[in-house]
Amino acid sequence: MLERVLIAGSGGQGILLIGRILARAGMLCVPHVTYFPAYGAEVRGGTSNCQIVLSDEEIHSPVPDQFEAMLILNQESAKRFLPRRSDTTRVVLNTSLCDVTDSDSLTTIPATDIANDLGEIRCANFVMMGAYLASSNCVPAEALEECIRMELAGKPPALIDLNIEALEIGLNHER
Amino acid sequence: MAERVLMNGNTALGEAAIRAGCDCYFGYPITPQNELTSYMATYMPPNGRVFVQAESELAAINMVYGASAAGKRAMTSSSSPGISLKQEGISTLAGAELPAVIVNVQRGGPGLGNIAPAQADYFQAVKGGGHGDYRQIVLAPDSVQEMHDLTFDAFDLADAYRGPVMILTDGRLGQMMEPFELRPAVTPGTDKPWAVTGAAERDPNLVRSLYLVVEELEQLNLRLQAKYREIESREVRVEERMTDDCDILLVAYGSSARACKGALNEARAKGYKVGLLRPLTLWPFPSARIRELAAKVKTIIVVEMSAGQFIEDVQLAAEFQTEVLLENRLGGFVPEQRDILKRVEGLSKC
Repeated sequence: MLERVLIAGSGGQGILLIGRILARAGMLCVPHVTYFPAYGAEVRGGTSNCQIVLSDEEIHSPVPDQFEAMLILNQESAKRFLPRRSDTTRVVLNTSLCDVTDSDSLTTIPATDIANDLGEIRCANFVMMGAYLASSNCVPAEALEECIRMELAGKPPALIDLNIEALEIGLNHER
Repeated sequence: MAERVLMNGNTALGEAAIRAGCDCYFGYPITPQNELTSYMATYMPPNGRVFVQAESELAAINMVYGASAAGKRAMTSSSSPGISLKQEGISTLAGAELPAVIVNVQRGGPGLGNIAPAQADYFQAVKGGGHGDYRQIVLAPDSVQEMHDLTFDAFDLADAYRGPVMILTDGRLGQMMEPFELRPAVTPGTDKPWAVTGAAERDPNLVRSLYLVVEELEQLNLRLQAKYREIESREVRVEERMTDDCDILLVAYGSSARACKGALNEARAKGYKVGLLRPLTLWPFPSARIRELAAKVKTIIVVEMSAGQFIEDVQLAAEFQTEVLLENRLGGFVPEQRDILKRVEGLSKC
């Protein structure tokens, strides 16, 4: 098994948070995991991305040149990263903030609108993560939920529950 | 069984320092090593240790001098431009024979450069960035596990040989997260009868690097050189992969070596007889082993994130027994597995 995942959006969308949670969940069920954030100059409103590799074999580069999956949360990231997908890359696109050109080969989900309806726009990242999990079998949703609780330990329980609800909406979204 | 955790290289290193009995950390922020300074700020004080965010890199390295002279395990960390500022202090630590751990999470240079990973501080680290005839042990991890493990070794080596030890890593290894096994905490056992710990019941100790009498300074230098020869004979460490039957030998350290490991597997699957030698100690350098392998292989390819620094030591060790080629990237790029593979395939066509 080799799953190379790119998560990209704008600073403040919780890109690095869901990346870390995916890596943490991966660690529970896959022998080798790496997580690499775009670091340093990222600010709220700027761009943000991270790369996660889950593999049965030793991982040599935490910064792959090809991806099995991409989670794209804003238009700037779509412009930058969609040209780098291959025919087999599974793309999850946040249609609330991205223009859709060829929806046939993409999983599309209005994640930001769904999060708004839930009353917390910052949950859009977990809606996206849910939609990704529905298209992937490398990390079970239960492991991811467990890791959300671990990573957000100390945050208000209502917020943690809301994020898990967002994850489940993403998981069950009709595409 | 050891506890398996997911942390980035910077924090895995910080946790190792605490577990290795680091008494004092002095640092000044700089990307891409900030997670280390931040981790020490969070976890040193609750563990009864000292954390000081110094007013500058110079202050930090001189605080290390003070703490070390008092017999404490002390460290500092920075990234390339900040390490340049520390060089006078490192030379002074070497002259005063004081143990210290210095971490360089390298970024692109020269000057302020950028914050992307690089290996362009190789000369500075292994040839002595400061003045005078001194050496420092230089350790080069290539995984988060080694960022953790080699930190324990760094403190032990610094105490054993009474001198500065550098962990030379880069922004990629500092920033990436990977699962690794935590090592149990240790209690440092080194006796330090030379330390300035209060002389009420003994003759006073003096820690200094100033020797105005030339005979005395020559004696110090001869003692240092004897120590360095001992380190060279005892502390060389390498990882080798498939060097038994290889025609093409890759030589690389740190993030470059990781890319080589991927290229090696791919090349072997295609039938190319490739091997890898990865120094874990950049000084002392594994010259003898490289000389041995150079006599057997057709080609050596040195992979580095610098403009031909590391290759010089490989060439010296290889003694013109075989061709030594350079495959490198500059300015913050990490060599890619495919580029190294392409180089290997290109050779075989010649």
